[in-house]
Amino acid sequence: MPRDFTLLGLNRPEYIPSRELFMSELAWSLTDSTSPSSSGKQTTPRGLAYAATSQAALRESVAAGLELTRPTRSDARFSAMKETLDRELRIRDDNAAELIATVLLDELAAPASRGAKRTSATPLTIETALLQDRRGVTGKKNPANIARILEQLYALGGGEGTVATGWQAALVNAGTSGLPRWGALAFETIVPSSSIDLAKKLASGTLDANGPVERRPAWLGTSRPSPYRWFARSWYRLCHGGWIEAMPRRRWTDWASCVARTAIATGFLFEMHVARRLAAALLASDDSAKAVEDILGDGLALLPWNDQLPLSTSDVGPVINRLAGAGTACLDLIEQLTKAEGGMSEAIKIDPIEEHDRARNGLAGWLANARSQVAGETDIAEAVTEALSSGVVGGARNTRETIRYSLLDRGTDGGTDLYALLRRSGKFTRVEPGQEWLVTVASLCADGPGGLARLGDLRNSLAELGIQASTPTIISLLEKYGMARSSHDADDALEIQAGF
Amino acid sequence: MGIGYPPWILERGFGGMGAAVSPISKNTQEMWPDGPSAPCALEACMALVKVCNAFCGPNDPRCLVMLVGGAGNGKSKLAADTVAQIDGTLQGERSKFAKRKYCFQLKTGGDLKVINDATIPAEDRCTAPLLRDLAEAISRQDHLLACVNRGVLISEASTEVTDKDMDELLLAKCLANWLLTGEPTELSGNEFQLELAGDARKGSGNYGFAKVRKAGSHIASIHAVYMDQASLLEAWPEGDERMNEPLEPLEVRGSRLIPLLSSERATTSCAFEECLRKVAHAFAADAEVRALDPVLSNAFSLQAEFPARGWCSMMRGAEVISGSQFTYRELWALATHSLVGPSTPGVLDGMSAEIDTWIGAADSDGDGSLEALVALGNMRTHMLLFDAGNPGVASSPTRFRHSWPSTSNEALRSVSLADPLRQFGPSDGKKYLELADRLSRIEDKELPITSLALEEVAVGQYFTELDGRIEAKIAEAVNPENDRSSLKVRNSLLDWYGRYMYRLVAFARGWPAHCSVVHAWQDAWIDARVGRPFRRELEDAILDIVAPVERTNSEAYFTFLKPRVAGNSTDQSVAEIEIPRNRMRVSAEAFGDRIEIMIDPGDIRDGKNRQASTPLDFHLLREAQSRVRGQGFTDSLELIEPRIERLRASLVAKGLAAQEGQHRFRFSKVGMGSVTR
Repeated sequence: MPRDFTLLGLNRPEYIPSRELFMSELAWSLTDSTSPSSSGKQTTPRGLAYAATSQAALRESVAAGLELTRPTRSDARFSAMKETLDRELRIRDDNAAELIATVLLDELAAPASRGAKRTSATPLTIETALLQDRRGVTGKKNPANIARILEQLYALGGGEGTVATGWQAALVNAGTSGLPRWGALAFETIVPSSSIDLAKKLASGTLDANGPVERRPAWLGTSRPSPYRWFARSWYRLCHGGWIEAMPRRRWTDWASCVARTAIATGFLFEMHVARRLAAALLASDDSAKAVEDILGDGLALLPWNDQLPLSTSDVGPVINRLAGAGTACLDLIEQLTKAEGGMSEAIKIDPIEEHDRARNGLAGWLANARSQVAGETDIAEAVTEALSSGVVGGARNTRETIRYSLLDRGTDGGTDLYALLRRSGKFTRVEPGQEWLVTVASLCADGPGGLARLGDLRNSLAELGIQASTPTIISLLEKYGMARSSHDADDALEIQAGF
Repeated sequence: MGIGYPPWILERGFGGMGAAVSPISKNTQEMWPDGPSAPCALEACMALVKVCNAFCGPNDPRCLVMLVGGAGNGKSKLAADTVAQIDGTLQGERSKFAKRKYCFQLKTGGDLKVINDATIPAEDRCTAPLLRDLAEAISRQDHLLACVNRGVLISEASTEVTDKDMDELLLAKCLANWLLTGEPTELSGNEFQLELAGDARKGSGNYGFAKVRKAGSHIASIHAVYMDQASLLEAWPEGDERMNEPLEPLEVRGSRLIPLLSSERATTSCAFEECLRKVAHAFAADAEVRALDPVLSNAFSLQAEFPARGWCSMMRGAEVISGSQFTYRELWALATHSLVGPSTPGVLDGMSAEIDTWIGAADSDGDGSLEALVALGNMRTHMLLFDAGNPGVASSPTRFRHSWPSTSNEALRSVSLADPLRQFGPSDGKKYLELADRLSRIEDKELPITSLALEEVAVGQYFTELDGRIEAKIAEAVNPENDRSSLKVRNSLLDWYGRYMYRLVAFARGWPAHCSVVHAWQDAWIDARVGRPFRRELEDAILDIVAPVERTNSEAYFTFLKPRVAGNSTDQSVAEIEIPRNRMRVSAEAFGDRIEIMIDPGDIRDGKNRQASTPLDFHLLREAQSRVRGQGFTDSLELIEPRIERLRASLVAKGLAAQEGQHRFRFSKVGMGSVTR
């Protein structure tokens, strides 16, 4: 296995243009060796997308070797869908069956942003998740492996099992609450022929082709608040806590996407923060254990959320830019130092952080070690200063876009983004969660549907996500959404009733 | 030179320094009267006292009292009072700081453990200290008095306890669940059994009782009292300390809701009323009397019966409208705010001097007399409550302004929702028109409210010399024959006068904004409490909100594949599920001070788990009432929409889970028509 010189074992991200892609990539990750787009071979098709948004986009997609998986009326899969509907709903009318099939296929199409060329299918089932992949949706030849990133984020938080198998298990074990049986059967028929066997194996739970997860640092994991811990806990609850039975499947799928996109954005934001502060700490001389405590603790308050603050004060755009720019440069610097490359003196060579993963105070040990390695080197101060003042250039752009656009309101033609955390207001960007974002995050503080959580639990979850929230702001929204119970005087013990 | 107001009043104001009580350091002030304990709380504690002070053999059952509720509800105060009556000796060192736990060695033998504040972490950082304390009390055969915050219960009830743990710990977990949800967890195979008894099988009301049995023998009785389930602004039953059997269930007596507009409300005292009157009396007695002093006027008004009752009704309205419940701590702070505004110790003296100056100006013949009276009027309770410390308040026709610190908190926000200026009087509007007509007479040189004060005892008790002087001066200024007053000034004065007098009258009568809806909500609570069927027209109105039917169809159709579950979709292409509206039934249950409505889809095959529920709060009721009266929708609709949508989603999920063939689906696409199956 190659040595890992990264801070947390995370691959570099790329902006994910479709929230449906998270689940699709998880599904494909379970079929690693046979997915059309993950085999690494020049296969046909080169990627899958659900449909094109225009005739021009259709021509372009076909020319690029992409397969559009939405069945047309002349398609055998469309006929198969009609037959299934006819049988299950006892229609006995070809026109009616055609109408129902068309409506279901329309409903399956996820809202697309205005400039999008291709649409995705809402991954309500395992089969519908296989209707697209990252190459087809992004149009790129080698887009970032989203599933692998999600798995690493989950592992960093000490997650049990894997993200993909959790999702798979939830769907395989789900009853008919949320999606009628005839609907699930109809969607089974539209899987492209090349994926039918995969779909059957996935739906029966017999495929679990996830690769090993590399990094589970003991100094992070379950003992320390971080966005990774939030993701691990929330995902596990979402998939195993009975939520899938408590709401329409579409809602559950949206919750899953919400958790994934929030985890990706806040996970990278946290990584940027840690990298930036670690690089700066190389030059300091305070106690390394204390320095690491401060670094990780400060990661709980990166984004202010207070609706009473003026826009200019609550603007988080500069925070994201600064962290993405300096954080990426600092990550690169740390990597250079561990590889002893990039123009630095070869005398300066520090340990890969991975080598300290097993110790509970591993990061402090690494920092102490690294400090002793760079002590007295004059180049290092200049390199750190340069990295800390770095703007959003090169790879930082991708990181910035991933963080910003994963959280930002992606309002489509269909209306506002209910699952966004950030909202634009003129030239400012502020924390202003969409209604369902807060309902999702607050509900997942409870053990399961109908459960209770406390305001303190929600505040802790928000802190794990790096959000420093004002209590009155949270309470007023919880009241507005009908989730708050008990008296004002309850402080952190104020009860939160789960959304379902 | 101004006189000083007694500074002790600020101890319990917002941000005041009044400290929490602990069982060994009673620090309640003489000036602050004791209010009644929550229903059943005193009786439960007296049962504990009786058991602790009586001889207790090794096989006699122990008494455990759990006082459950949030901060500020009087748990520690009651614990302190209880401990003072126990014949026992405190073990361990005394501390001026409140501790988590105290142990008393009883003269009659045995120990009493007092968990004063379960939110204080255990010294050894145990993650579930309450479970451990409960388990220890059982295993050591201690008596127990525990003040438990509900948040602690939520946390500890989710603690993982496995079959490998001690039986006592499993029992403790079972108890925590019972206290939290009313349902104990399973104790199969455990040597202990929890036996819920009496009328209080469920702990979701004010009181719960259970017996702990070990191998069949009764080893402990548990009285669980929920301190935050009854509004202090409703009538509470008198505590009955003469209980016969302290180890048997108490007679359950909850609060009695009296709807705001009922005649009984005017003659019935609520739990907090005496507290308010006594503190106002103590404040007035401790201050030097001077004419036209608005702060003293407030104290004189609030110590009188009807204004105090009106204040309580106003606060009750705020509770219902905001869907919250004020604790003792919040009500004391609101009472302080009603007397002296959001003052701080440094500000209080300055305020007094300022008032002195204004009184001087008001008494003078100069131009500033009216402005000074307006400034003094702004410091009356009915103005302070809604305006003081609120930066967004409407301006007043005066150059004299006290500079209040900007003050904002949830309690005041709730109170602002009850401002009678939002909506005055009963919803039929007659009283509003009546008062509007009366107030307009001020331009005819009459003194409408001064005369009303003579006619109506509640207004008369609230009305002071200051109010009379204000009205007289304004009547003079707005007189059209008064050449010195421009139209602009007159309008400005009339605007302020209207605000002042509408609030004054509403306050004296105990009419918060939307008092008819608040009244109806209280009626609904009473109906739910006694199990009366939901009123048909209200049921229809609620169903109309939750499951609107189409004009051409008597059933409701909801989307189920779209991000939000909506009825009457106008999308180009849509799949919908029918929720049989005609078969839906609404029922209600009262839990503490809440009403929960259950919507039953009507085709139940597997019992209660098919129901969807949501609180029937002020906004849902207001919206429903508006529909009953055919008045269309209100701005409450926007507030209730998020949870109504989730309720629909919940109904849809339950509908989809129904057996095949039980539901109809509709598919529509523009240009292709519609199919229902």
